[in-house]
Amino acid sequence: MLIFGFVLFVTNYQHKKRGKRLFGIKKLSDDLLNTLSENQMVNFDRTSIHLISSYSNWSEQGVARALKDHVYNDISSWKDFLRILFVALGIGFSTAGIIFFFAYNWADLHKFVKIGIMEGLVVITTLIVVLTSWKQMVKNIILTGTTFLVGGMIAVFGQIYQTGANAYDFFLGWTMFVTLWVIITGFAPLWLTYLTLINTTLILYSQQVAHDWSMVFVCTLLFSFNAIVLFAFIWLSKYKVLIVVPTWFTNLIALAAICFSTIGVIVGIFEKHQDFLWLLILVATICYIAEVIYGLKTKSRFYLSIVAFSVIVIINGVLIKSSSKEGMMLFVTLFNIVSVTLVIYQLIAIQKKWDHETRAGN
Amino acid sequence: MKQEQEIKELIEHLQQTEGDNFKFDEAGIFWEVRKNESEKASLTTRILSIAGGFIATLSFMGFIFAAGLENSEVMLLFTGLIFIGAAIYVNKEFDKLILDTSAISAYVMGFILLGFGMSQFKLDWNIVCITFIIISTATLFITQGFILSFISVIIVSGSFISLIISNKYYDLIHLYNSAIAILLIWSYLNEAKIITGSKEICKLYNPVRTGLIFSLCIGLFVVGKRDLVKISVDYIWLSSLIMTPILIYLIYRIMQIIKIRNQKSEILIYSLSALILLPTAFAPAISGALLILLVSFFVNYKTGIALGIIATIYFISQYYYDLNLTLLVKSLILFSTGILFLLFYFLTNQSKTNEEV
Repeated sequence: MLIFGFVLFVTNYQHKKRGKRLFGIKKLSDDLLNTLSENQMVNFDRTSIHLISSYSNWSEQGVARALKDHVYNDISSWKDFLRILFVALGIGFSTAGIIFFFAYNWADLHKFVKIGIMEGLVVITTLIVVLTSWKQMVKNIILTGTTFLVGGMIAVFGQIYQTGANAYDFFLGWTMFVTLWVIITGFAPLWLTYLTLINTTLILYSQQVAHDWSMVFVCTLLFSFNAIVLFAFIWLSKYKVLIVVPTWFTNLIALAAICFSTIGVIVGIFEKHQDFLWLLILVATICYIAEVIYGLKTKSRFYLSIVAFSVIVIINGVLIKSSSKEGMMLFVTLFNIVSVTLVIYQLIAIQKKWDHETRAGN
Repeated sequence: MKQEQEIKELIEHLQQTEGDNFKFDEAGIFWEVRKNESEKASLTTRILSIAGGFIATLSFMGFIFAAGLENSEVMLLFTGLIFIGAAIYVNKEFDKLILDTSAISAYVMGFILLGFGMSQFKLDWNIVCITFIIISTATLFITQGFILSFISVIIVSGSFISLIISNKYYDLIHLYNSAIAILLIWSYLNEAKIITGSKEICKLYNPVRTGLIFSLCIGLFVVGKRDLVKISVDYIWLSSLIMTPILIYLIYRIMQIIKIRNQKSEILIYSLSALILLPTAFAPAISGALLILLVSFFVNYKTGIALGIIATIYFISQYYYDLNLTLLVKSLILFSTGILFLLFYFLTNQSKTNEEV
């Protein structure tokens, strides 16, 4: 809950900051403005201030003023930050308080009252979202809180009818009941909660019901699911331009997906009788190639880095599986240093090429 | 990092505003700009270097054990020192991003070998820690490259915590936390003063700042995670003796920025803040995390903000999880804190509406 509020704030804030920088209207002190010639609007960043300061006798007051005017957060950023901080902490703590209250399982409280209170809260908070004209952001945070209340409600149900708190169907029910809100709001933090719920449901299902599913198969399933979600979001936002998806959100899904594929392949390498290993390798290879192409096309070093690192870790597994003697371990050490260095070297070269293209384009 | 043309414009602007006294080393500045231009350092590549160094170190440990070298003390000591020396040399002489992975790996492996070697000599653990602190501090004086300086700060703080734990002076962790918090707040709020010092200090500023945040997080984790070390519960508030005043001071500075000059509002904000901070006297990890978050936002330091958010959420959850109260009492505390924050929200929104009117 709190994470989502904060993450959203940082995303909004960065966009805002970029916009300000783009148009060069970041506030300058009056006396400084007077000294500037007509079209000379300067724009310092922290790195430039540090650099010039270390190679000059720029006065401490001058540096302090530049930092205050160009780098540090101003009044409007602080107000935005505090508002989101308070509302996220407020809703987060209150929701946690309500859930703890029902977790206490007050014996004197009749089961109908327990479920009634929970349902009442869900209804009231949803009505607040539907009927008020509050800011969209506040409504989204409230709805995220309500999503957790739905979880609490199902937990209370489980408490009364003894279904267990970590049963997969608890998470399945929770996931199903909030689906509509997630789709309607299109709120990235709520989407993240939703995807976490689906992943949790799948993991619990494999542990509690599908005992014959191997670890590699579970990883293949989780990797495929997250990769499909990732590609869907990329397709809808970048190619269809139907929705706006924050970069942190797609990066997080990509990271989760690649963790599942790496773990799956490593487990497959070290364990015998892994029927799905080749399937995972096939799916992962296709997705990795797609990610690299996408990374090159959108000039994102993130996708190139995570794919490269995953491949390096997998090669580590293959090498150590073939021999774990001292000679091999030394070779693996050298391989790690050399391969990561080469990847970084390539990334720098690619970035230079991109910069060159951008400048040529301008 | 801006490009040459933009830096030129910034310097021209400074020549106008700072007057004739403004002197600068043009060659030095543009050498750095070109170097940064050719390296294109980014958070992604830095994290990749560290991750690469990490897996290389892991496999190297595997090599040591597979070869049974953990018992040959002289060789371990000797190789350890060579590794550390080589890492410092590479970082000092070349300071290139593509060599970072090698430097990190060699540096950390060097310390591991040195640690193994010294413990094989049956040296007291205190001597090992103090040696680590001396070598890491010396590294900061010799080379100011980002990665090595950052790791050195972490090794220094890690060694201090190790000293506290191995000597069973657990309550000294409060002194550690307080010292790091003071250092952190001082370095964050005096950025201009520090970076206008020498060139070396300016270069050290960023890695040390990042290192200090991580060091404080480690210290807070020791205090915040119950039963991790045997801290006496009676003295748990000791860390708060420093954290809370720092937070109050930060609130004062924030009020200056958001221009709250009305005495009534000031009193209300201080009272509500005190109401929220009072219970954290017995949960210094929470106030420490809030401190990281607020001070990082104050100076607009994004890595710090992200760490502050994660630390705040983690320590709050950990605190309530460990709390020895019934779930009913916990729920009441949580719910009332939530209402208090919502009150803050409506207050700030209210003041906005007033301003707009």
